[in-house]
Amino acid sequence: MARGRDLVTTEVVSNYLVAVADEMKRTVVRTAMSPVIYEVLDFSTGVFDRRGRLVAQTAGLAIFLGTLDWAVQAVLKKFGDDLHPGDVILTNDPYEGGGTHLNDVSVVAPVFDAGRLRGFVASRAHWMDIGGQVPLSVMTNATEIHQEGLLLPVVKAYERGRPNRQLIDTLTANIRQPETWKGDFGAQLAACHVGRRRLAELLARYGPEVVEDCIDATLDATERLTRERLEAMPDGRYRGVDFLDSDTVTGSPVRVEVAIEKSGADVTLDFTGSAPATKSSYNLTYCGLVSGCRVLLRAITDPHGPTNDGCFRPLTVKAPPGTVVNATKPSPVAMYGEVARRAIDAAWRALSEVIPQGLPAGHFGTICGQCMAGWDDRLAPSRYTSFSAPNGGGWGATPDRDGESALVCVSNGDTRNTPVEIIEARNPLMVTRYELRTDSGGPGKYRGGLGTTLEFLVETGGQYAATFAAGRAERAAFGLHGGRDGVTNRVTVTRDGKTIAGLGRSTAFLLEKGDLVTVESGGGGGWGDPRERDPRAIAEDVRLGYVSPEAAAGDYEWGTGP
Amino acid sequence: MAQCRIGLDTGGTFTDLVLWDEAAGLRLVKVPSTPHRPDDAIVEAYQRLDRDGRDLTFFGHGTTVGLNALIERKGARVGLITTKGFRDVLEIARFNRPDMYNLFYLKPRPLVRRDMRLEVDERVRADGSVARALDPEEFCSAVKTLLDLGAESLAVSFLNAYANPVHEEFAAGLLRREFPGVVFALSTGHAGEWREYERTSTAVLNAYLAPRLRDYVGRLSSRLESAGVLCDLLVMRCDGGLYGARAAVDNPVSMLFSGPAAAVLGAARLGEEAGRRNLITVDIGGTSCDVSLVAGGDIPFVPLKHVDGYPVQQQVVDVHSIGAGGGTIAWVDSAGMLKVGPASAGADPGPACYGHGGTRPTVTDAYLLLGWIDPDRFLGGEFRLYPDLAAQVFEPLASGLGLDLYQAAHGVIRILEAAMAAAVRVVSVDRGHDPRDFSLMAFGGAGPLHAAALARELGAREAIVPQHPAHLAALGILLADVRRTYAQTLVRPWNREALTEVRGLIRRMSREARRALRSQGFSGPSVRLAASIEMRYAGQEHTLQVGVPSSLGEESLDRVARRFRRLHLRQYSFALEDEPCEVVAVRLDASGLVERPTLGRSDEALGDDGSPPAPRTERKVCFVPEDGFRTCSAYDRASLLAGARVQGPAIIEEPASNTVLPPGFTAVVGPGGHLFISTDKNRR
Repeated sequence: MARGRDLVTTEVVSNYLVAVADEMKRTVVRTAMSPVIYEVLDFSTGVFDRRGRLVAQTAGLAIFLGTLDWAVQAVLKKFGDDLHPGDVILTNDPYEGGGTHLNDVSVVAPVFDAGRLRGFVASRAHWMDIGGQVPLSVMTNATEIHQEGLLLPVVKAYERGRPNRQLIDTLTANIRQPETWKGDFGAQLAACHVGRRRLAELLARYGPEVVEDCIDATLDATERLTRERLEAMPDGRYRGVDFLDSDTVTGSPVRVEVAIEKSGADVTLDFTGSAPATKSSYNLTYCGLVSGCRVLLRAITDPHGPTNDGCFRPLTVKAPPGTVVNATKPSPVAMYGEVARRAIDAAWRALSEVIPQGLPAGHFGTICGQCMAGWDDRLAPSRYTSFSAPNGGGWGATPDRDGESALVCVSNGDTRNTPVEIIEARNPLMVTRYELRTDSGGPGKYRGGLGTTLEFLVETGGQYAATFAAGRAERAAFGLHGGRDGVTNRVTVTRDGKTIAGLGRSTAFLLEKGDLVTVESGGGGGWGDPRERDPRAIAEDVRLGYVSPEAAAGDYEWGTGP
Repeated sequence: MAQCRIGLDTGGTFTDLVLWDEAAGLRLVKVPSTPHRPDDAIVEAYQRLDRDGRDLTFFGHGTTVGLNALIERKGARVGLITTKGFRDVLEIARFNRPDMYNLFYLKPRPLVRRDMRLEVDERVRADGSVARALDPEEFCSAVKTLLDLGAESLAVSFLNAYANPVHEEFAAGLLRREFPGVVFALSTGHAGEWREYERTSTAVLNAYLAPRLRDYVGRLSSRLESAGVLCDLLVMRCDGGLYGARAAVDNPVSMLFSGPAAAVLGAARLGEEAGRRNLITVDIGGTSCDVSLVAGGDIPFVPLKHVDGYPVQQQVVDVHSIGAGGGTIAWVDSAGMLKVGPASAGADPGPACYGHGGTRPTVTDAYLLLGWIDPDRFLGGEFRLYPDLAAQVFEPLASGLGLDLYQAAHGVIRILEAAMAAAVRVVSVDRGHDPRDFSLMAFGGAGPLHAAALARELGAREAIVPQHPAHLAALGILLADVRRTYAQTLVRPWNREALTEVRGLIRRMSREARRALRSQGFSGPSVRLAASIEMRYAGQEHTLQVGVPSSLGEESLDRVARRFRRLHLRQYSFALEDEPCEVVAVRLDASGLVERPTLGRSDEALGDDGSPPAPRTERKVCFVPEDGFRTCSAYDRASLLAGARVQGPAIIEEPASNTVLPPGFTAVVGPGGHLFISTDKNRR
């Protein structure tokens, strides 16, 4: 362990490494072409040591960050000594390459000092399209991975600084809207370039041995901190169960089960008992599962401290291969995030018994996203457009206050909405309302936060389709300690005055001009018995329209008393 | 008539006044700020001058009144009117959780509660066409409802108004006619860029702050008038320009960051005078370190900034802030790692060595322990410091880490300086600038203590400690021009037609600008116009600002595109040769050039007899822990004549700040009386 003045150098070096990751993030934001990257911020960046351990990361997409080190380690495993200055490696392989789903592509660059490998910088971004059966490559109904797009099995895009033309031409030929892709990929390359240069400067300044000592000391310190927090929690074995909405093939809910064994400063999450992998895109691979568990571990131990490899050393994750949370090739995985969130929720439920003050009630729990793409025939010649974005929803109430409304789900951290004005300027859509969803929060002593309603009018008569990913359409966000559940997520299309419901899992649903698409995100769960809610808070909710008078009467017996 | 001008900056702790009298030179006044009635301190500072105000030609003022009102949530009760279906935009915000692992995260509370947000059934499309006309009756009835609910001011924000503000302007007409005297703000009033949340937030903040600022400016004007100030009150805005006070209160958000903007402007002006057009500016006060970068004399701007969590769409001088200053607290986390900041002991209780009850070790305590500041001469000796109290709070920190007191104090400073250097990298290397091409100008009370070390850490060409480093914001105000800025969103592929449109827009803006400045007494050569366009690759979102000649002839078509690609390459390390680029907005910066006093100390006046400077005293100082304490000279800055050369190790003292000169550095009193510190490349 570093002592004395080494501690000062350690702090200086570890802050520098975080600054490198931050600079990489800013580079991506400034140069990307797709709103999903620069506006939504659907990407992450990180810095790694020569063994592929996560050393520093930026605030970004939590679920990505927990898997980026797997991508770096896959690079090490595949290429070992065959890594050179100027190499850039791509991977989106969910089974072997630390991937999540195929759209999320990691770009990894090794960093050298005096000819020796000393570390890596990497970013992972959501590519708007990676080929496959539907535009934007987001689907719910694939039966094998190959339908979901191109799988990049840890391949070099640059070798010693020279682009691999064969690969880049292949990508250009398979990706829809290749111009946009080139800009986004250029942004990731620029970030790698910047990160590589900064890390090399640090190594040159302090020498690789000192930097490595500082990294070791930093990782050890965060490990100690994490263990200290874990030790403060009661030992024991806790169980939690959650369900994915009914599988489209079997028609029954998909079980995700976890047993948490907390002993001293170690914690094991065992997902034995979870359902077999589904025959649809709702599957998660092992590294995505670990990533989900890491998100929750950070949340309950040290949410504000630096996140690196040290934080995750106390964590063990077990899951039998072939289950929905540890799917194997060729199980499709496009909807991996929904499964990851159910795994998080199962563990969240289990832990809420152990540390009742440490977790809010359940949240709307889904990306609740829409991916819309097709031809805008208002223009001559008609133009291909696409748009893909998540929605915020209601979060759970806490032991001392109502839940927050309209926040992105647990796995997605610093991702944002696409402004309505940008949606309308770029797509054949008119947004007719974007508002909080009254009565969506779960009743309780403290009420769950509200979801939102986003409604589009389709203005093109060209070929135009939407894919939706709105989970928790059957089981709403859970209440805790007597608080009731929130309201489920819901997607509908109104056509010629008739409503088509249950579209939360539809793939490439064809839209017609004049269709009204309504995406409603769910509300958070309540906390505590609704009868204990302060009547003034109920009156205030009604006055502000968060709760309708009818719901207030039903849920809280408001206005029915003396 | 002889010029006689005042620049005044109200800061969190002190109110600084600078008087420049063509006949009598410069006078500085520093009085404690009076946050609850900032005008008290201003009048007090003015009265300390004890002179007749009739010959004053200029009174420029930077204020934190708006910022304080926001932070304390003491703004007006605002009513918001939006397009039907969009009243919750303000509350939904961007739905992100920047604090990504925190399951208890809360967004900043909306400044307008839901019952005070009403909708009207109007609609403008993204292309600017009107889909549904605004019904004046419906609008007026919404206004009436809000006023009945107790609204003190109104904000109007309609969807796509950036593309066509026709409905907002119609609404403004109705408000003026039907509700005279009601204070209101439009989303397109001063901002007008897309993104409905950010634009609405800006309008709401304007409405929230307007009544408070109006009261304040009215009160201040009349108090100064009765104190004998007859010239107009000018207000500094965050774009680094001065505006008539009454015009400024129409757009209060523009005054939120005026202090940091003024300081950067002052630094740029002093640098220019001294022949330094490439500057990294580092302003270190009690709680924060604000850095900026001036390239080729150009002040940098950003189009958006967050204040206390709320976004503001506004051209703001680009200042990057971190929580690192004299009051910053050092601590050890539970894993045994030494941390510095971002928490600060603030002004109350302040650092432990102030003797006001501070119990945690701060950076100022470290300065004192290392001998960097003299306990008996802090703030000119008006304020005694207690080294024993500093030692007392540092003792547990040091022993917990296995360090001696001085190693711990030095470690704290190293970590702090590394954080400051990282902040500088954000505005320099991050954006394609090489610090070796820049001089680092350090100011603020604590800036000169770190000037030499930071310049070395960053490899900057030299460090500069300007004259009066603790008064730079007030000096900046004194040196600012009267400004007007114009912007218009115009999204077009960059081609011949766009060129014609842009040229037309620039002409129109120029005419307007000349007219506006003429009314403030500027014409002919005292008017400067600078046109620029914001460009990007088609499909990209973020833009680069490319300066263009206002004539904009046909030859500009290629030239501008080339300039854009070059900028893109420099800033982002790649350029797409074949990708088409597009124009996104046209901007015009119009300045009424104020006749500027030369502030630098006149060398002749002081003379230089060539003899080596005489130190005031000697004392023991620790620069690096390996060397321990060594005896070094302490100089009184006022006694250093032009051309004087001071060899490190040394400390150069002045009433509100100290310059630390470690071994291997040399400071020369150069043009303007500024200290030019050369970094010794052979030492690390």
